Amino acid sequence: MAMSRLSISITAPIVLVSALAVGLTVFLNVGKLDRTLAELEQSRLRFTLNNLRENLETGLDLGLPVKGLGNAQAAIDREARADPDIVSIAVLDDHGTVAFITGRSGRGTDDGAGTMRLHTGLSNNLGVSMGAIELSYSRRSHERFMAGISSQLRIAALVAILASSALAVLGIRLWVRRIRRTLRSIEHTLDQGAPPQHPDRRAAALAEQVNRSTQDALQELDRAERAITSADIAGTSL
Amino acid sequence: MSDEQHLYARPVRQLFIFALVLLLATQVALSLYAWRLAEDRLLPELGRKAQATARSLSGKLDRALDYGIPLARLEGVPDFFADVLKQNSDLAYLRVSDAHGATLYGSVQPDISPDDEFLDTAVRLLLNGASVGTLHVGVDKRYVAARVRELRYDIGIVLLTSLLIAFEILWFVVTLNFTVPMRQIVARMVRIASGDFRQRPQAIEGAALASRLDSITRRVNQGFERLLNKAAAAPQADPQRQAKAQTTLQRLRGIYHFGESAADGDLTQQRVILVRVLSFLFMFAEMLSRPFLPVYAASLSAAGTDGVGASILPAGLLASLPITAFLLGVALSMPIAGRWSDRVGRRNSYIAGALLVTAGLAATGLIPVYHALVAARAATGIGYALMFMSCQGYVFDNTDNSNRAKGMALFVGSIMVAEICSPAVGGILADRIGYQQVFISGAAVALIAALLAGAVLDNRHAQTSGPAAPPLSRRTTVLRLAHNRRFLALSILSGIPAKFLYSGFLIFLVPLLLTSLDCTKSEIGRYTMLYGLSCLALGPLFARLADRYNAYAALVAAGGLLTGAGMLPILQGASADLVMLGVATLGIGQAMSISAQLVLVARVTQAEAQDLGTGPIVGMFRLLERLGAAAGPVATGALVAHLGPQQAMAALGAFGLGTSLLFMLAFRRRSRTAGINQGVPT
Repeated sequence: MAMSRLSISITAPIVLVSALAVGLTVFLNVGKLDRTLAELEQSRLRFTLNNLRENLETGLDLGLPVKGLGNAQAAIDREARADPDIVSIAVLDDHGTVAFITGRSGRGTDDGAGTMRLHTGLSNNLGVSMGAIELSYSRRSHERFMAGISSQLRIAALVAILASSALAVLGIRLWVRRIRRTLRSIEHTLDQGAPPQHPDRRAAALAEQVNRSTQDALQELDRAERAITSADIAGTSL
Repeated sequence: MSDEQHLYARPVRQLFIFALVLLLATQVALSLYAWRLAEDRLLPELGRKAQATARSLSGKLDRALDYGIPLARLEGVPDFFADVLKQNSDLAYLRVSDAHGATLYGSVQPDISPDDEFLDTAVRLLLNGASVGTLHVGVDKRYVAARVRELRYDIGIVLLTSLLIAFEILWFVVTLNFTVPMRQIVARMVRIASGDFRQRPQAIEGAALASRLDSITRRVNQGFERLLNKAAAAPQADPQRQAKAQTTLQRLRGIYHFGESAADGDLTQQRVILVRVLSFLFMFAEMLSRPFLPVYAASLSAAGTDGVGASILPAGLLASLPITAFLLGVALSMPIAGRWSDRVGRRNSYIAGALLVTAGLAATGLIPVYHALVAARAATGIGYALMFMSCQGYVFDNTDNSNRAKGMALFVGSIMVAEICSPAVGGILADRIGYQQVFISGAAVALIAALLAGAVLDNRHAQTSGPAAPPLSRRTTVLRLAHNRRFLALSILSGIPAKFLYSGFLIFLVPLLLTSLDCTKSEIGRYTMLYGLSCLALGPLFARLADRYNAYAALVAAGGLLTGAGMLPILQGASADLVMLGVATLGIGQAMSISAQLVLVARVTQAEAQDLGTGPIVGMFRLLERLGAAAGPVATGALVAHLGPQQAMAALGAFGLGTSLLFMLAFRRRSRTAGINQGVPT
């Protein structure tokens, strides 16, 4: 048996499967973090949006139209200032026309995949729909966060793969050495040579039985041969 | 375990334990690190929520204070806080304290819990610019930890999957490179030790120890041959001497064995283990797309890139056609694939099948066009059939009646392991790298399978002249079986429905239904693998029960009833848990009925088997089953189009129940008249 080939052919799949499992674990963790972060962001933005809605609906309950809400611009500016990732907050009337908007970015100017958009309806105390609030949120920070954490996890995965590979190489080496010891114990016993430093007693015992059986058989054959060829048949005891 | 077995079994056990511990430790360590990292990094994000909440609530409280209401006499604050906490599960507490720090309103949690459990955001409440109190908003640090640790099931699945894959590959490598040669050496030594010196073919040519044992047996055999020659050379004229020589030889033959012997059973095992890893690979490649294929097909048909979107066929039906194309490709090509594999050899047919699957999966991944998907799936089905028949044929070539069942168990076991691992891995990959890349990954695995088959398989059993069964005999088989009412009842009321439900529900409907319930592809893969786990874990148990209690028909009926009943609770309202229940009962139901069905086939066709043989009858039953499987997705697709996925699942359940009840009635009546449950089949 080619032991070096055995070492490689056993170590390689262990390393490969370990790398595959580590990769899948990283995939799973990154996916979960992405979803959890998005949920936390949405939860915070929903809170901000609901707060704004309650604030503006106080004016609507008094019978004011959306365009007549004197505190609206200040309220949305305050919220936009508090969170640098808010691209814009727009208050729309019931026709969908922008009544108030924060100045950082015009509505609809950053409508790419990098922007998350949330909105909530505005209604008065009679339940009549009066308009909506629309909040655009940049995903740049989210993506930066995910890129950072993914990179850290990738490094950790690499370290894990290297460590498990080193352990696999070491473990398999020891394992192969043990197999070699067993085989050497047999070989040495069969060849009547000096036993290895730490012989495998079970293997040596089996080899000893082989030797004994072989010796017995050869002696029997020798005796039989002599008996057959002997001229004095009567005197031969088999 | 004997001392001899210790020499090879113990090292193998140690190796597997080492690999298991290594994989386990690596993944646990990485997961713990990832979770700690996630907690550290997500906590500030949760803190931003607390700040936004504190800003909003303090604004409201400041306004009330501006109206001249003292902080300690604000009305309705506890109710308001309770409402906010109810709507925001990520907030742990809200509390207002006066200027001296005494709590006025809010929950008592922060007073009794250590600081490190909560992240507290404090905002001063102002009246005319002076601080009159503080609003505390707390978030529970464990909230993030709990959210992130929802992943433990997914990580557990990855762990289980990686262990199964590692087990498959290690088994292959270790059996070929260590267990078989070592077992052979030990077995030869044990035989020599007991006086058996017969020469045997070597499993591994050139192994030093095997050669040494060879030389021992050769030496003894040469001695015996010399003795034979001398005995033969004894003078004919001396009968006493001749008789004595014969007695001596006879006595030696009684004690020892000389000469040559056939190959060991280990050689057979060595060959069959090749097919285990090859069948695992092709099943793994094919099943990677299981958690999302219907969804992908639906998205392509909806996109209508080739005009299919405007088709008169409803969307649900369009989503099912690629799956039906695959299953039809398998069903129709399998009989031909078997004969072709016999003729060209296992290696050639396996490689051809693997290359066809590679091309089919690559085309599916590279050409996002609906018609191309249907055609590619049909081609993949033909390739699948070729690989399946090559592997099955290889098992038959290298086994005999004494070890065929063991060989088939090795083959089927690898398919079940792939059924567990592949959808789970495919789902995770689909979530991260997208559908098309998963198809490409499947193509890569199939290509690896082709290369491996080229290296390890052979065409030794290829038949130079095609001994295909004459068409007349196939027609005769069909005609004879068509007149066997019990066979028809078994096929139509059990075999076909079982496979119909398997493909219609598990392969087609489960991904669609779970996607509509906002499950990720990883979750769909996780739910789907429950089927394979149930079959693998319970199949042998039910087979033993069926044998012990002679309850084949009862188990087939019970399996069908359980499958049908498991799909009905969905009528209460669609949920992932109820879909999972359906998958689990399908797995248990199939575990109950699969092996029992085959026994019943043998029993109800005893008369036909005497003339036609068992093979063609089982082949016909399998063909009917596979046609049922091909019909499953398209019929379920039509149900989805007309009833919606939830009602479609219930309808499948009702179908399963109905056919099983009819089967039960049919076989109960038959057993009374024909004694169907008498006698144990072979």
